[in-house]
Amino acid sequence: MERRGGYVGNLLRVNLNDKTYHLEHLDEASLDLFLGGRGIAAKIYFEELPPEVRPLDEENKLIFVTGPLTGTIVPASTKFQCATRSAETEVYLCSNSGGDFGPQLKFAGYDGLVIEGKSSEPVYLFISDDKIEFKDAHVLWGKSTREVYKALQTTYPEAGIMCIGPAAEKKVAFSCIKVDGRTFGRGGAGAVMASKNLKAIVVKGKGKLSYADLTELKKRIKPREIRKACQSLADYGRPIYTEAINELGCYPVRNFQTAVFKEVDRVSAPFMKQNFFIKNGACYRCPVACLKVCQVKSGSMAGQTVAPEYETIWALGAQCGISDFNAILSANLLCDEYGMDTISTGNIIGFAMELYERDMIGKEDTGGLELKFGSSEALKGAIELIGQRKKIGDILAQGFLGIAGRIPDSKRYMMQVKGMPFAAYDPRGFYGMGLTYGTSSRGACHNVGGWSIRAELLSGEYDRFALKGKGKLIKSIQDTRAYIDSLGICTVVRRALGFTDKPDPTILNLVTGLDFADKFMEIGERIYNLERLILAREGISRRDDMLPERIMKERLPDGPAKGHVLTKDMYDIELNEYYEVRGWNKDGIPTQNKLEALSLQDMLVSFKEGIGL
Amino acid sequence: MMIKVKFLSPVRELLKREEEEIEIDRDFTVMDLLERLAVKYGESFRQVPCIILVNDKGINQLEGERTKLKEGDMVAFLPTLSGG
Ligand code: SF4
Repeated sequence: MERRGGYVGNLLRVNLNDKTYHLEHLDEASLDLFLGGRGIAAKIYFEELPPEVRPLDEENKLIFVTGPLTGTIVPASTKFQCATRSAETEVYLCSNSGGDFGPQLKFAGYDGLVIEGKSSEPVYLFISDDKIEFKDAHVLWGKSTREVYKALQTTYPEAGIMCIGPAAEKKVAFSCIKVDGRTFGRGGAGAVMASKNLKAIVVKGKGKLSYADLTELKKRIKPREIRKACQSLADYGRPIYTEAINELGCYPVRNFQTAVFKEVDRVSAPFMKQNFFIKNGACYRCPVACLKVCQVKSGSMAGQTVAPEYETIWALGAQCGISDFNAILSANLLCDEYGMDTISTGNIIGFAMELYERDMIGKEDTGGLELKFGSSEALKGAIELIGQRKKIGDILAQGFLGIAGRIPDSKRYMMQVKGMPFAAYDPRGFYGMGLTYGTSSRGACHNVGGWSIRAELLSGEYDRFALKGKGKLIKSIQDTRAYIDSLGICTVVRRALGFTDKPDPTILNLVTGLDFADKFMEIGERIYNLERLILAREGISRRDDMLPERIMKERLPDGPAKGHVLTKDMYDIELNEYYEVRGWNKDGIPTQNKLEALSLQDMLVSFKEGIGL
Repeated sequence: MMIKVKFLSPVRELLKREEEEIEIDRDFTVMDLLERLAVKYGESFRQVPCIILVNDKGINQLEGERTKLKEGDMVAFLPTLSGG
């Protein structure tokens, strides 16, 4: 490929069956259409993973792709993407992570890495520029992510490292991949990696990235201004949202039974900062440093440190009725050690606590554990049971799709879409978030689905309790997010860099030497449609976009959204508008016209063949 | 007429106050409130980026800083929210 700035132009394909690898070149036409990161990963997935492949089959692949900005001098250029068949939702998964891995992969000479097949023995992969080695991982197998990091960092200082923990080895459906302290969190990519007997990947590179106009780019990048634009996140991190979302009456408590947490003062960002904060942490080249590293004060984990995210504090806190911040930090660390997604873990434990309080499960299931809301011991015990797949933990570890078949009548208490547990926002308080969860490309995800709280609160156009206009709003946020996830930068700094729904292409143009002018939103829309095509091929349609019974039938009991509910009729109004503005049919399938307009006609042909149309 | 004002972080940290009651006259607006608070706490108060709600609604969805306040209203200062 003709050399463009930002990209390297190569993809490394590794086969674990026979321990071989080879290089492929990325073609320009694909980069023009799908940009990088999430877009290119979805394209590879579409072309190479037929719908009959199951998540833990050796035919499943792990597709890691960076963006044109990953590893560049652009601030917060830390991100890269993973696409795979999800162990949690059993359909397409896209996931993004920060850390040094993405930048190091590019310095080593690769825009992406595709892992295929299954090793007969536990291995880890070591990539150092053009040297690729398959290393014995017997001694690492069974070890916690912390232990693996310690071992590998000692051997490979300054490398980018991703690894899985014991939960992935035990095929916990929501096990994650840890990446240099950041995570491919949602959707169970960890279990896929474990099914390949791959414990870790280490990468380091000495290469330099090229730029079309480095001098002008340096002039345009102003890290101090970026930090200022994100000041409250720089000061408090994303936990600053806790009190605000609670104040707005959409902070889910005790498995979404209410949306106002009375003990919010004990889980707020200022409380965290005053009592547990020790230092700031930052991802690769990030001037914001939104990670607030905290230290556990007491208990068996005293002295250990972790930077808790807003979502994690909620999932292991209010969702389980817990306000003991020390216990939340300890639970965060425990999830990290096992290698489990904190959002899914906390959401599912909150769900199990509700079942326990409703006598749908008992002490005989929990091994004597009093699985009650508000109990820190119960939270810790439940994480251990899941991580080790013991007693009720063996069922909970299967994720909501698996639990549904094992605990009769429990589905009505599951806060999920497509098997993916909800995050920290109650859509009865912001109706747009219903569509976000319902139509996200990876099940109930607040990011990929289009985080709409800000727009619903600040825009004169979209009252948070209105239905009309939400389809248009959510589509726009989803498309914006899809192109940003393909660039390789962190979403926190996106506005400061000009990457909004009215994008400023300057930065990317200066890096690549191409003219992206007004192409971004179309690229985002194309990616979103391709993902929906993949999901449709895997059997997803309108019925799978529905929200849980609780959201559709139970009114919120208190707070600013008191009395609100998003009934099926109301949600159908939103969904119909959404499908219409998307150019999808009433069943949620992209139409031929739409796909042709987005230059996806080739994909349509193989889609039709794939589902036998 | 009395209104209630609630401060969330980061404004709360600057003002070192969680909430207060303020007496207002007829036709008192959000802009008047901002001025009153700036006099009381100093101009730096205005530099802190935040979202202002009146009775749980963003003022952009009302009449912005011209939104009139009345007896019993609750004004809240929230942090800016930039994304999930
Ligand atoms: S803003 Fe936070 S999450 Fe984003 S790159 Fe910077 S430190 Fe990482």
